[in-house]
Amino acid sequence: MSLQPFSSPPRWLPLRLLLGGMIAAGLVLLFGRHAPAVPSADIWARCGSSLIVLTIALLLALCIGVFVGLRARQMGPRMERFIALLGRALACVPVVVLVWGFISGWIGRLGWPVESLMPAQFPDGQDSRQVLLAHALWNFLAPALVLALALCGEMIHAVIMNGRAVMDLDFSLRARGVPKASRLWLHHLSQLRPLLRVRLQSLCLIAPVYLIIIEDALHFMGWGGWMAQNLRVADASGIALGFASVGAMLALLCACLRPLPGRLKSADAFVATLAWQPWLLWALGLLALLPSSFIAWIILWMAVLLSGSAGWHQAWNRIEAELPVDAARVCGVTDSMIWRTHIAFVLFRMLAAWLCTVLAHTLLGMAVACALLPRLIDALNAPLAQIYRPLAIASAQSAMQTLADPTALLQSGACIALAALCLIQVSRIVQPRLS
Amino acid sequence: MSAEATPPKDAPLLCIRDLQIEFSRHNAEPVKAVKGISLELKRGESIALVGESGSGKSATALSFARLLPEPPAKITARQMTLNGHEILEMNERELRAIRGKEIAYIFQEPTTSLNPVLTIRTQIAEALALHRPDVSKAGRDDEIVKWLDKVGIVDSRKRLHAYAHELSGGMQQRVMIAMALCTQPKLLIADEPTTALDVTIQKQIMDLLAQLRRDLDMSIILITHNLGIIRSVVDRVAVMFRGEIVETGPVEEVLRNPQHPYTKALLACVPRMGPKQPRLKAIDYTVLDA
Repeated sequence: MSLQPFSSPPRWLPLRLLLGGMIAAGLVLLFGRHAPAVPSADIWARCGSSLIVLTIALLLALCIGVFVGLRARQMGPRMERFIALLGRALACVPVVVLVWGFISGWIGRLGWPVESLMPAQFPDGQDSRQVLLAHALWNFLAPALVLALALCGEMIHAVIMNGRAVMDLDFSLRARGVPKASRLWLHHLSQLRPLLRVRLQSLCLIAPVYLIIIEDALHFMGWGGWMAQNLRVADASGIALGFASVGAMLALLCACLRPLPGRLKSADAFVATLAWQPWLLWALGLLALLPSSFIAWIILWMAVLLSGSAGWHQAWNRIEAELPVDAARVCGVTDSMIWRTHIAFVLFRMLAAWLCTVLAHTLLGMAVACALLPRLIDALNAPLAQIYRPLAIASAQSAMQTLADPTALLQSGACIALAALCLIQVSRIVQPRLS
Repeated sequence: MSAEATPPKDAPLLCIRDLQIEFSRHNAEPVKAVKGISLELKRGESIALVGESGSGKSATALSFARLLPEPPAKITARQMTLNGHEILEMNERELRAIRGKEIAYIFQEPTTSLNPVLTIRTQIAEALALHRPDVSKAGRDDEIVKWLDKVGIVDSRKRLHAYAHELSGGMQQRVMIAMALCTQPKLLIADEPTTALDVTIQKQIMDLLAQLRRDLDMSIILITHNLGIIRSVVDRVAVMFRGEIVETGPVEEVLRNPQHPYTKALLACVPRMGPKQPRLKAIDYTVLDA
C-alpha cells in the first residue's frame, strides 16, 4: 500500500509511538471494560521473532528500493518514470494477494519448503548448529521476503521521486572527472539518505498490518499470527496488548534508525504526532470489536484520513507560503478577491487530489480489513463484496481452493490495485505544484 | 590517450580550429550556438571569453572537456587539442581522466556544485584520490589544508569538517577554486565565477585568480560578460557575439582601442566611477545587424 503525501516525522518519534500504543491499548480496555492481559513469555518471544522479520524485511526493501531506483536513474528519465510507476503499482497490490501468490509460487511451482508451513523432520542426532541455523533461517526467510516485496514498491518510488527533489550535482561532478558510480552511489545517495530514513520510518507504521496477514497465512509463530487470532475472536485484552506491544516494537525500530546520518526538519508536533501512528492497525482493532455494518467502514476511512493529515497539512502550508499573490496584493486586490481568484482554485485542486488519495487508500485498507475480518464483507454492497470476497482466505478450505485456482484472488487483487493506482495517479496530476 | 607522446613545451596548450556546436531540436532545425571559432592558448597564457548571454561562450568552454550532453549537442572541429590530446577522438573514460586533472572548471554558482551532505574534506579528498595518486591517504588532510590556505580560507583545518551551508558564498567559491586547483590542472576554466557573488567578494575572487595564476603558472580561460573585471587576470581577450569571435587581441589593446562595434557597445555598457560620466548605453542591435 502506498503512502500518503510525504511528511516529516515529529521530534522524539519513538517516544510518541510508545505512548501512542499505550494510549490506544488503554482506550480499547476502557471501552471494552476489560482487565489488561498479563503478557506471557510466549508473547515476548513472538514479538522478538516478528521484530527480526520486520528488520530483515525493511532492510531488504531499502536495498531493493535503492538498487532499482538508482539503476533506473542511469536508464534515463523516461525509464525512471516508468519504473517509479511500476513501484507504485506494486505498492498498490493487496498484501494478501502477494502472500498467497508467494505460497503458490514458492511451494506450488518451485517446490521449495517454507519452514513454518512444512516443518522439516530430522532424524535423531541431526540437530547440529548448522541444521538449526538453516531451520531458523528458512523459517524467517519466507515472511521477511513477502513483507519486503510488499514494502519495496513504495521504496523504489521514494528513491526515484525523492531523487528528483535533491540537488543535481551530476554536471559539476562530471567536470571534476568523478566516475559515474561515485556520482550515483556517493553523491546522489548521500543526499537521499535523510529522506530514505524518514520513508523507512513511515513504512514501519504500515508494516505490522502486513505482518499480521503474512504471518497468519504462513503460520509463522510471531506477533502477527497471534494478533490475527485476537482480531478474529475479537479479544479486547489481546488486541490492547497487541497495540501496546506494536507501539514498543515500532519505537524500537524507529530508535534504531535514528543514528543514521542526516536529519530533516521536524514537523508540527500535534498534527505530525497524530499522523505518525499505526492508524490502520488501530482501525482494524476497532473493526474487530464492533459489529459489522457499513458505518464500521467510516472508522477505516477516518484512519486513512488521520494517517495522511500531516502530509496534507505540510503540503498546504508550503503552497500557501509560496503562493505568488504579492503581485495581486500590491495592485490593491482585496483579501477576499485574492482568496476567490488565487487561493480557492489551488485549494479546490488540492481537495480533489486529497479525495482521490483518500479513496485509493480506503480501497487498499478495505482489502486488508477484508482479508483479516471476512465478516465485514457482508456490510459491503454486492459489486464491492464480489471484488473483496476472494481476499478473505480464513479457512483451510478456502486456502485449498485458492491454491488450486488463484485466478479469482489475482483478478480481485489486480482490480483493487488498478483502481487504487488510477486514483493515486489522478491525485498526482490534480495536485497543484508551484514549481 | 596515454599512448601519445608528451607534446613539446612550446606547443600550444589548447588549439581549436573551426569549432562548431549545434543543438538539435525536436521537429525543428538545429540551433547553431558556435559558428566556427578558432582559438589558440599557450602554456601559462590566459584569455577571457567575453560576450552577452547566449553568445556561445559557455558552450565553447564546456566543449573543451566535452561536457555538453551529446546529443542534443553536436560538436565538430577541424582540430581540437588539449595538451596534445585530440579531444573529439576521446572516449568517455579518457575524457574522465583529463577532466579535473588537465582541465578544471569553476562554475558561477558554488552552491549547486558542492554536495550539501558531505564535508569539504570529503569532497576535496575525492578530487585528490582521483587525480593525485602521488598524495598518500595519510597526507591528504595536509594537502587539503595547504590548498585551502592558498585560496585564503582562514582557519582552514577547522573548515575541513564544515558543510557547504556553513560557509558564505565567497568561501564556497574559494573552496571550489581549491578543489579545482588541488589537482594541479594545466588549464582552469572559470565560467562567470563571480556572477553569483556580491561586488566586494567579486573583487576578492578576481584578485585571488590573478594571484594564483602568477604563483602556479597555469592557463586560465575566464568567461564573463563583464569587461570591467578582466584586466588583472588575463593577457588576451576574445569577444564573442552570436556564436562567433568578432574581435581578439591583447587585453589592454582591446579595452583601449576596440575595433568592432559590438566590443565598443559592450565597453560602453561598463559603469565607471568619477564625475561627469556619460550615461550608460544599451547595445543597439540594429547597428550591429547592419
